[in-house]
Amino acid sequence: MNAAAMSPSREFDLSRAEALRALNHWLHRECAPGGPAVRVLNPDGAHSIAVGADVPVDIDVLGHAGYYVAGMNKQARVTVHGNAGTGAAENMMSGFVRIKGFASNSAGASAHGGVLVIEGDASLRCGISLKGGDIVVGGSAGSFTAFMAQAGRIVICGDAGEALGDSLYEAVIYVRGKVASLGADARFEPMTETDLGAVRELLAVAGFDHDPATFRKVASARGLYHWNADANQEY
Amino acid sequence: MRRQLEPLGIRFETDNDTEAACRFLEWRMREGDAIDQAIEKGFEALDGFFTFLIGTADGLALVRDPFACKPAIVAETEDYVAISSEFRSLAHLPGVSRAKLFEPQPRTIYHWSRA
Repeated sequence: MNAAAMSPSREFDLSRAEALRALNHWLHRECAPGGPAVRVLNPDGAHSIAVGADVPVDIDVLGHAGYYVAGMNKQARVTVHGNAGTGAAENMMSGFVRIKGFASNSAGASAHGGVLVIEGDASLRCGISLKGGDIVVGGSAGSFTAFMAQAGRIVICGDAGEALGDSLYEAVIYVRGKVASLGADARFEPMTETDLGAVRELLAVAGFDHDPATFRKVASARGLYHWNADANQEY
Repeated sequence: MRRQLEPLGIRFETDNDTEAACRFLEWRMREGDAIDQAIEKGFEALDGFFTFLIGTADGLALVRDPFACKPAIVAETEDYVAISSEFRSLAHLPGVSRAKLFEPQPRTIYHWSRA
């Protein structure tokens, strides 16, 4: 039992009218560091739960969340005790977001920082345009994972779908299972000590028990960094 | 596609692209394809984003295009199959808390028939 569960918590029951607006307003305007943990009841797939938080607070969403849960998160630790819709933790700046179930398309899109953990599967385009955040997927990740990802790390404990790491920049992917196909300009690279350390660190943060040595690294071949007039547009 | 199908006797009621996709499947099934075969041919013939939910007299088929841009979620219980673009509209169904929830995979045909 963690300390947050024992101290009094602030509850928002989203089955009541205006409760979602009240929750986000409270997070933006009234919630102070060191305050009570937040419990979100009956989320029932509501969109934009706990978006734009900017304070170190624990937020538990007790059910399934809709689109953009914990979007733009800064500092807050958000746990969804269910599945998440499109764009979970998109554009996160810092903090920690955990999805206990599966996450729909574009989870962690454009995240600049923080850690997103998806205990189940991630759907398509997980980590698209990632800009420095870390994502750990306990299950498998769908097609176009890490599309055009610029910085950050993605750990996939299961399999990856088609076009993994298409048009990657400097983000790095670690995948344990099968890869359906690599995207344009993505390639397998040897795991260095730094890579093993990164996977070990992220697995520990996520609470997953795998041997880092069973992961393979996917990174950019950097063949698309410079315009090549002779390429004949055959990417 | 419309220009290909109309000379074959397929009649359109609207100018809607969605109808064109439906009429394509209608044409394939008229030519003897089973619904799964018709959908497979649709993957080659249809260029665009789509999620199809297809009802027949005794069954239901669901399919998403390979890019799966259109949202879809399925709730399966002993009593029913419910399909929607998001969980929000399934949340108040009876027994949904015990349902098997999943997102249909892209380019995969899901088929349910009456027992």
